[in-house]
This record gives sequence, C-alpha cells and structure tokens, in this order.
Amino acid sequence: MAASPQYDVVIVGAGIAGAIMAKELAGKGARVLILESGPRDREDRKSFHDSYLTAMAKLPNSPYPPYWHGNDPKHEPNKEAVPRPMTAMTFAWPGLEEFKKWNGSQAKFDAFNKQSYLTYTATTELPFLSTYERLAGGTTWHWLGTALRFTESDFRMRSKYGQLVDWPITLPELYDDYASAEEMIGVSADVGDQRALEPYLGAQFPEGYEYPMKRIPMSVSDNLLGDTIKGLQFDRQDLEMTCTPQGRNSEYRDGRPACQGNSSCIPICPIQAKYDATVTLRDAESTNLVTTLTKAVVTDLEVGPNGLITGVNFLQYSGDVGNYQAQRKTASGKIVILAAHAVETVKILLMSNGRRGIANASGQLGCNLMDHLCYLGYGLSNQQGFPYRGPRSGSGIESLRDGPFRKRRSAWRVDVGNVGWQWADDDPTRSTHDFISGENKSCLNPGQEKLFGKALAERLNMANTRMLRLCYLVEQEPQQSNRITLSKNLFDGLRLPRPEINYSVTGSEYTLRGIVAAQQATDLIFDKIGANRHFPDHRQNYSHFINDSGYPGIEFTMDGKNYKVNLYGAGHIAGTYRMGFTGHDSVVDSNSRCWEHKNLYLLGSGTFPTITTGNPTLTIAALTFRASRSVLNDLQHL
Amino acid sequence: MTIEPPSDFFDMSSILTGFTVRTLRLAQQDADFYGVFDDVYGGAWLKDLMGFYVARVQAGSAPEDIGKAILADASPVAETARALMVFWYLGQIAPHDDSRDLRIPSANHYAQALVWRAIQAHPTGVSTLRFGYWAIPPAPFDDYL
Amino acid sequence: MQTSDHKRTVAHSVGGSGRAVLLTLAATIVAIVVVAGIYAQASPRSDETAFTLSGGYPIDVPGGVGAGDTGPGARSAYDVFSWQSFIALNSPTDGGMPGENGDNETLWSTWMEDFQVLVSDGQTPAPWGAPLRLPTACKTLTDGDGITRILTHASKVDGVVGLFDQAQAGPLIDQNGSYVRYEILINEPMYTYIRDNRLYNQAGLNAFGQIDFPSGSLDTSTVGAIMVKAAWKVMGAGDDPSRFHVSRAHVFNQQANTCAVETLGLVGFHISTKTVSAPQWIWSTFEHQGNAPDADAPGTGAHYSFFDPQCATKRPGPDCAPNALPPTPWNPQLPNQKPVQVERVTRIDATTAALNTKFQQLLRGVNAHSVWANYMLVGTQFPQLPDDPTDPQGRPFPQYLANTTIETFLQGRVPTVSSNCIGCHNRATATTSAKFSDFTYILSRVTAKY
Repeated sequence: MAASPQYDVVIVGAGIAGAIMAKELAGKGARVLILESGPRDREDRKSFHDSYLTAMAKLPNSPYPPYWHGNDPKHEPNKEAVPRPMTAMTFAWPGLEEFKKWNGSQAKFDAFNKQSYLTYTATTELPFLSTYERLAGGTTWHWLGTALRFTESDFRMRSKYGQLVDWPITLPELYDDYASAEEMIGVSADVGDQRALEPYLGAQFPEGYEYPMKRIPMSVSDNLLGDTIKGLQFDRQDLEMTCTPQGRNSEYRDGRPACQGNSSCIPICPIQAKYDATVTLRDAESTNLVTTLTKAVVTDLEVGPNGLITGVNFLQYSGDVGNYQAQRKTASGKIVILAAHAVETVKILLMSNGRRGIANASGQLGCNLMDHLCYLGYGLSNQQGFPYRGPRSGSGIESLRDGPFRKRRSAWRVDVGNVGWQWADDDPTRSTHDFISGENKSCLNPGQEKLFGKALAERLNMANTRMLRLCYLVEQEPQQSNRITLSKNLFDGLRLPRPEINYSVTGSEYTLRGIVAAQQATDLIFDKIGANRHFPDHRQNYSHFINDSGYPGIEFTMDGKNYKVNLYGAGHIAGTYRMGFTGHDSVVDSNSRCWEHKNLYLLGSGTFPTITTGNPTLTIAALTFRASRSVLNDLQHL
Repeated sequence: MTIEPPSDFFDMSSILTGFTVRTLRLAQQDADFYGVFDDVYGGAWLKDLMGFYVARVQAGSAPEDIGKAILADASPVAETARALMVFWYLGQIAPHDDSRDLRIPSANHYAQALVWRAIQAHPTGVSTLRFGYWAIPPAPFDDYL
Repeated sequence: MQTSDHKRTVAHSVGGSGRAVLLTLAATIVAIVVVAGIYAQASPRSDETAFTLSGGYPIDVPGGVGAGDTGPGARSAYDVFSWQSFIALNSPTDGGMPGENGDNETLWSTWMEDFQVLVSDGQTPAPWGAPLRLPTACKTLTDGDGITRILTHASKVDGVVGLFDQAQAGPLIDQNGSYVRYEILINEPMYTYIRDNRLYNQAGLNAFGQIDFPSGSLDTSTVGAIMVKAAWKVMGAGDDPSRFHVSRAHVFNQQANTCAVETLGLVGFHISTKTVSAPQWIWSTFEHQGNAPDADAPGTGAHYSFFDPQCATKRPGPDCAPNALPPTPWNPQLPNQKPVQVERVTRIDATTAALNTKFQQLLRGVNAHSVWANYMLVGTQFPQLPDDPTDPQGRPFPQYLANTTIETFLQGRVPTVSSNCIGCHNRATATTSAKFSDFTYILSRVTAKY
C-alpha cells in the first residue's frame, strides 16, 4: 500500500496546509497519499493534556512527543526519529553577557548544538526562537488561534514604503480564499470590529462579508486595558483595542463545543473548541480517497529528465528511541506537494539530488528565515483585570499594524495576553514561591516577606489579579543571511542531517527600530496607568532586561542610545522558500508552484516573502486554497 | 490505596494556606495531597510537623500563633511546612533531600492547586466554567477560600 | 407503525392505571406516590434494608448529600437512586417487572428520540407519543414490519450530528468489526418543555430566556427531565443474545443511504435525571457485564464484546493498545474494520459493586434467567456543592465516570479531557450566542431557523 502508484497527488505533511489541500483535492475526486513524519494521536488528546498539566514548564511543546527536558541523553536530538526545535532547547543559550564571552567559540557552539535540534554556526548572534511540531495535525496543535487577515500594505511593502519586498499577489485577490479559510477553520469575529480599523489598515473585506461565527467576548482585563489606552497616540496613530478574530468556536459547531476559556490555547485546547488540523484531516479521510501514512519521513525527491518530480523517497519507521527499524519506500504521484513546514520542507529539498539540493536556481532556498520577534512588555494595572480567565489572548492593539512609519521602522501588532505574566515570568508560580519562601524572583517581593495563611492568598491575589502582559509581534526584515542549510556532521536518529542555522537580528536597523518603538509604546501605556497604588514602592512597568541563560538577548545602539532587550519567538516561521514574480529571485510562483519543477508545490509560511504584521496560519490556509485550484487545473493537463 | 488523612492534617493545612477545611478536603478528594507529600518528601518530616502542630493545639495556642511558631526561623518544622504549602498552592513537590527535583506528581494535583483559587481564576487547562465567563468578574475572593 | 402507536398509547395509560409495587424483597417498602399519571417514588435511602424492586420512578435524593466538613463523596444514596431508575425505566411497557416474562420492551423505548425534536425549518415536533417516520431507505425492507427503533446515530439525519462517533471522540468497533450505535431519548417532561417553549428552532431558542428543564421534586412529587443514552451492538458471531436485552431495529447509514434490519443487544445505558438536589443532574451509567475486563485484571478465557484476551498474539502491534481510537477513515461500511481493544480503566467502586450484586439478585428473584441481571451500575455522578459560586459544575463526585461503550476513549483521570459527565455537559450550548442549554447537547444540534 505504501509505495502504491495509485495516487494522483502525494502530500508531505499532515498539518493545516496538507490537510486542507488533501480535502480540497479529494473533494474533486483526486486520490491522495499523505506522508506524515510524526505519529498520530490515538488517545484523543488525553495523554497530551496530561503531559501539559504535569509539566513544570508549560511551554508550547510540552504536551507533545518527543519529550525533552534538557537533561536526558537518551532523548537528545541525534537519538530521536523526528526531533524538532523546542523552547527547552534554548534554555542552554547563555545570557547576553555570557554569550559575549563565547566570542564565537566553536567549542561553545558545539556543546550547545549537541542538545539542540536546530544547530548553529558560530556567526549566529541569537538562536532561532520559535518551535513547531512534527505529528499529524502539525503545529496547529499548539497555535493560539489568532486568525487575522494581512493588510493591503503587507503585500506591497516595496511599492508603498520602499522597504522589504512585494508579494506577487494582492489582498483583494485573496478575499475568497480568506473566506474559505475562515469557514474551514471556523473563525469567530465581528466584521464590524475589524472594519473599524480601516482608517489605519485599509479595507480587508469585500462588501457584505460576515464571519462564520459571532465574536468571542472580550475579557474583563481586555476591556480595562482598552479603556486605559483610549486617547493615547503613538507615531501619530491612536492605540486601539480590538477583539481578535479567533479560530475558536463561539458556538457549538460540527460536534465541537464553544470555547470554555481554559486559557491553555497554547499549547493545547483540551476540548478542541480551538480548531486544529486533525479536524480537516479526518474530513479529508472521510472521502475514502485519502490515505495517511504516519511515521513516514521523507528523505528526498527524485527528479526526472524534464524537471518533473518522479518519486518521493521516505523512511517508514517503527520502534522506539534507540531501537528504530526503518524501511526505505518510494511513493509517486502526478503532483507532489511539500507541506512539511518552513524548516522541514527546506530540508527535504536540500537533501534531494544527492544532497546538492533542488528547486534552488534562485539561490533563495533556505534564506530569509523570519519570525515575529516578540518584545514582552509587562506590569501591573491599578485595577483588577482578573487574568488567567478566558482564551489565552482575545484582543490586540491592531491600529499600529500599518502607517507611514513603515518607511523607517518595522510595524507590529500587540497581542494582549489573558494569562498575566505567565509567559514573561512564569506566574502565578514564581510569585507563589517568592511569597512562601521570601525570595524576590518575580520582583513583587522586594521586602522578601514570608507569608502564610490568608495573608499569603491575599497578597498573591493583589498581584496576580492586576497583571498585564503585552506581546509586540515585530515584523522582521527578510535577510538573505538568515539561513537554513544542512548540518554536515549533526544528524537525527534516522541519520538525516539536522538543520544548521545562521541567524542574527542586529543587522537590520529597520527591525531594531520596530523593537525600540515597542519598548517606547510600553512606557507610554504604563505612564498612563500611573503610579503603582498597590505596591507603592514599585514601578508600574516591570519589563526589564534579563541576563540569564534561557533568555536570549541582543544589544545595540540606536540614535545614540544603548539598548539591551530579550527577544522571544512567536512560532511564526517564514520566508525560506519565498514566492515572487520571477524564478530569478524566488522559489515558487503566486500559486505556490515551484518555478523549476512544474509538478511540485510548496505550502506553508515558507512561501511568505515577508512575515507581515499578522499571525500566519490564516494566510497559510488561504494560500493553500489558492494553490489547490492550481493543482486541480494541473491534474487536468498532466 | 489512598489513606484518609487525619482531621489534624486539614486543620493545620488550613492555618498554613488560609483556605477552609472544606476546600482542602475537596482538593484531597481529587488528588491525594496527604499521602503523596509523605511519599515524595520522605523521612518522618510530615509526622514531625503534625506532632509539632498537635502539641501546640493541645497547649491551647491560637491558630495564628501556631502558624507563626511552625514557620519561625528557628522552627525545626518550618522547612517541611513551606514544602507542604508549596504543594498545596502549586501541586509541586520535591524530596526533602533534593529540593531541586521539583515535580508535579499528577495532573489532578496541578488541577487542585490552591493558587488558582487565591487569584480567583482556574488552572490553565482546567476551566470548569462556561463560554463567556471571562467577560464578567469572578465570584468574590472569600468564596474561593 | 401501528404497533408503535399502540405501544405508546399503552405506555401512556399504564402510567395512569396503577403499576403497583410488584415485588418487595427487602424489609422496608419505599412509598410509591401517584402523581399526575406518573408513579413517583420517594427518597431512596442508602441503608441496606431499604432495597426494593419497584416500577416507580425515584424522584430525588433528599437534601442531596453535600460535602460537609466531615466527609464529602458519599455515593450510596445516589447509587440506589440509579438502580431504582434503571428498574423503573426498563420495566415492560405493559406493566410488570423487568424480565418477569423474559426480555421485554422497555418503558424508555417509548420515549421520544432526540431527532424527533430536531425538526426542519418551519416544522413543529410531533405530539408526544407520535410514531417515528422511517427514512425512505428503510421503508422498502420487507422484514422490518413492526420495528419501531431506528438508529440514526450511525449517521447524519436532518442535521443530527453524532454519527457513530462517541461524544468528541470516534467510533467503537466490536470484536466482530461492527460499529456500536447510539440512541438518545428524552422523557415527556423534557420533550414537552422543548415543544411548548419552541426550543426546537433557533428563533425560539433566541427568544427564550434561561433554559431550565423541570427538576424532579420531592416537595411536589413530580418527576423532572430525564435523558437516556443507549449503546447497542449488533448481535453476531460469539454473542449470546439470551444474555442481552435485545431489540430489532433499522440501522440507517445516511452516507450510503442504506438501511438494514439488525438484532441489537444493549451494551451501555446512561440515565441523566434533573432534580432539585442536583441542578447539574444526576448521571447514572450502566453496562452489560460482558463488555470488557478491568485494565489491571484483564480476563483470559471469557468472551467479551469489546476485548480479545488473545489480541496481542493474533494481531501484534498498535491495534491492541487499549482504548485507542480506531485508524481513520471511520466508515461503518468499510470492510476489515479492526476491533477496539477495550479495558475498564477505573474499577467500579467496591460499595457500588456490592450494591450491584444485591440488585442483580433481586432481578434474578423475578426471573432466574433475567437478561437485566447481566447489567451493572458503573457509577453515579452527582454535584456535591450544587450552589458553589466558584464552580457551576457543583464539584461533581466521583470526579471521573465513564462507560466503556459510550466514553471508551475518554476513560482516565486527566482533568478536562477524561470522562466527567457534568464537566462535559456543562459545556453544552445552544444558538449562535452559545446560550447555556442546561446540560444537554440535543439543543446544540438544533438547526431549524424558525
């Protein structure tokens, strides 16, 4: 069955792009084989949720296999069949001062690389901060659910602002595909809320458009912050709080319940009120035209004399760490679609043709690696907003996603968290330890008080019910030098090369100016909140530079001022096989088809020429709908 | 097999945590805080702490004073008591001999951890509430104790 | 269909004609109260002398049990309530005790199916007791005369979602490769509430205030809303129909638009009862004893409907992983379906097991070969603090409760994801505004606009 030639299309990757593609194709009668490198959940998310709840560090990867806690040689990335980057792996990255002492030492990098799936060259100044999953359903298992459309300017940065690059596609061309994506994911939003942003972002919807479901109500804390920032301006534009379009149910829909506010969207929705790609995968399979093989790791593609892909080679493995059995197999179809994520797709292409790579006439394959660089601003409000209730994030400041300032600095949106300082400071855990043991790691207990009884509960309540956390998703400039290649000497458990990354941020003044703006906007907001009423000897803005390992940071000078900031990943991995207008400067065309291989499509945010100011999943889905029409058309002619 | 904790355990825990005995009993019903603390923390530490507590009760001390005595700098049971408080509040526990080996013994210990009640919320991943609850403030603080 | 009409009429009138206490095998007779055409029974008591077999409905557990400062979690009174409900609901439609004259048509089978309130635009649910309308594919079956049961939870019918899938999981496939089918029925107070308040379409649901089904009340001796969910398996190779409550039914697959008449055996049975002491409802669940062994004591020789002691020998590999979702695609018509290897993850509580023995003995006292004595109570979940302002679930006890045939894949002890009756049904909503639907997903599935 595995190597059957009976398929019209072979799709690599059972995440959102692969699943939507499979469903669209099978819906039109095509026979589809999906090859998924990871396993499939047969325990109905119980063991995943159990892993999450019992994890000391509740990180995006915590629920999912393979598990890694940074200290178990048995599970090092060279032992696992399908390792992937994990936040825990960056815990070994030194604080900024210590990193300076590394001074490019290869030995230091080698030691780090041993425990990290992503390996680094010594010219790197920052580890890549984001992660993804390798299992059926892909990274939508741990996505947040934010389903924003990109703005018109996002697609036209070069023509409009003279910065970055244009996409070979415009927003109105994607209207229908955005609508299809919103329908399939099940997006809850009020189009009126979004249209209110038109003065800042331009039109994002055609006339008469309505979202599939009503909006999810904003939280107490979102509403409080919205009131607080009313009237504030930054870069001559209003700061405005907007209810976020969310891929979470606001009603019972197709057998899945409405959101219950478990507040754990990242990394897992225990009740599947949040969409994940397993929903679409099952729909695709219910056509009886889609076969999914799991634990099938693609090693390379075979190319025929005319440039067409003639075979997909993969290893089907079984067994456990240290004891894998793998069989070499080949699958073929008229069309091959790589939907394996921005890093893994690049790996497959680079491993092909005897590891000399394919699809790379432009020289852009693996380049322009981007993320939203996250700047965390956090502090206390003077009023109780009661975080840790509701979806993990349900609102954002979207009014600064576009504007004339984009000529000189990168833009951002602000994801307003609903979980206090959990991301920034691991609260309420850290403050609890502090007030029991008399420490001050949270900066909330400078008097090093040791409390017990009701006084303990009251103090924790006083601090934690007022916590605010803003995450600025800063648009990162695409840079050729931020690049994925194959490691020559580091491998995974199936002896496939691990990715090698060269990654830096300080080379882009455009990006850095965006980070500076984020810091300034945070100050502006906390100035408005005013003096700290409940902890009178504290400042209101608790954001500060942390120089510890596990907190990667950068240092730079801008306009004569020195900055040290910690940066975090958004999980938005993009740019590594960008789409463009010609085959000279891009890997795929606007339909996500390879310029060089006419029966090869590459899906996912790897095709994004710029990371833009919106979270990528909705656009990944929309571009997949667009590509599916092209695939169906090609199938007629191949 | 879970052993029903003595009522002294709940009374003492109530003084240390600030939560009512009823709330503690309900937490114990879903996750064995008593037995697992004894197992993981090890030794006779819990027995000593309980002994310390019972002696003060028998001496007629007021609850607040007993709490202070247990947690006093010179108290031989202060460290055990704080480990127990961390367990009740966060569901985290380490062996006495290896305080860095902090762990959450079960999902139910995390789900019943008291800190979430202290902040009028619910553990992330464990909401017992209904759609839209987050748009209105929670029940008063005292209802959570 | 004449038969159906007739039976419903009979069932209705039985209510008014005095189904007496037929057997009282224990010392104390619990009062049976006649109210409004329905026999109601006063408080079940947990002291052992009170056990009795009667066809009357238990109404409520007086004052609940509560979680006082001394000992939360007393379960016996609710378990007795569950058994009394089981016996009342499984009593013959024409009176008498369950199993008295062999297997019997049950009282609850005359209730209305969930899809009878899930009407299309502009329609009104039929009056209580109206017969089922057969899907066209079933009408042509010549051997289907007199069959009144249609299992539609094999597929979508008129927007009925539920398929053969279990709630938020997947299908259960028995040892013969057949899919288990599910059926949801509601009693007259619940049906009438939906019908009278027009909760069968979106307009009605939106116009209506807070959904609050009638509660069983000891004060007024009235029975409240009751829902039943039954799990059925096709009687096939290796099954002994004489050990099951069986029913012949149309099994309809909408995907293929096919219909077949099958003999089905009852393997799982939920009863959910709304009462004054339990605004979060009382959740009783029963199983056939031959379903599956306990996880920590897998049986060896016995024949189970959903467990193969030799699985590991016959089919080494992932297929024998206990309680694992079957491989996709899920389609009852595909050949060579792999059985799910089912185990009971949480043992039945010892006091509940002891109660089971007592009631099974009572049932055997009625008929030594009673099929009903092959069923056991798995447990009863109830709210300990029904009015807790911090928890609309009312602190359910026990925390987890699962039927191996209805929540096969959700067994376990992981908060939010493992089977917790009140926890899951607390998430039930209706309308596009996610209005709380009082613990039923039936109203979640209303699609008619007006």
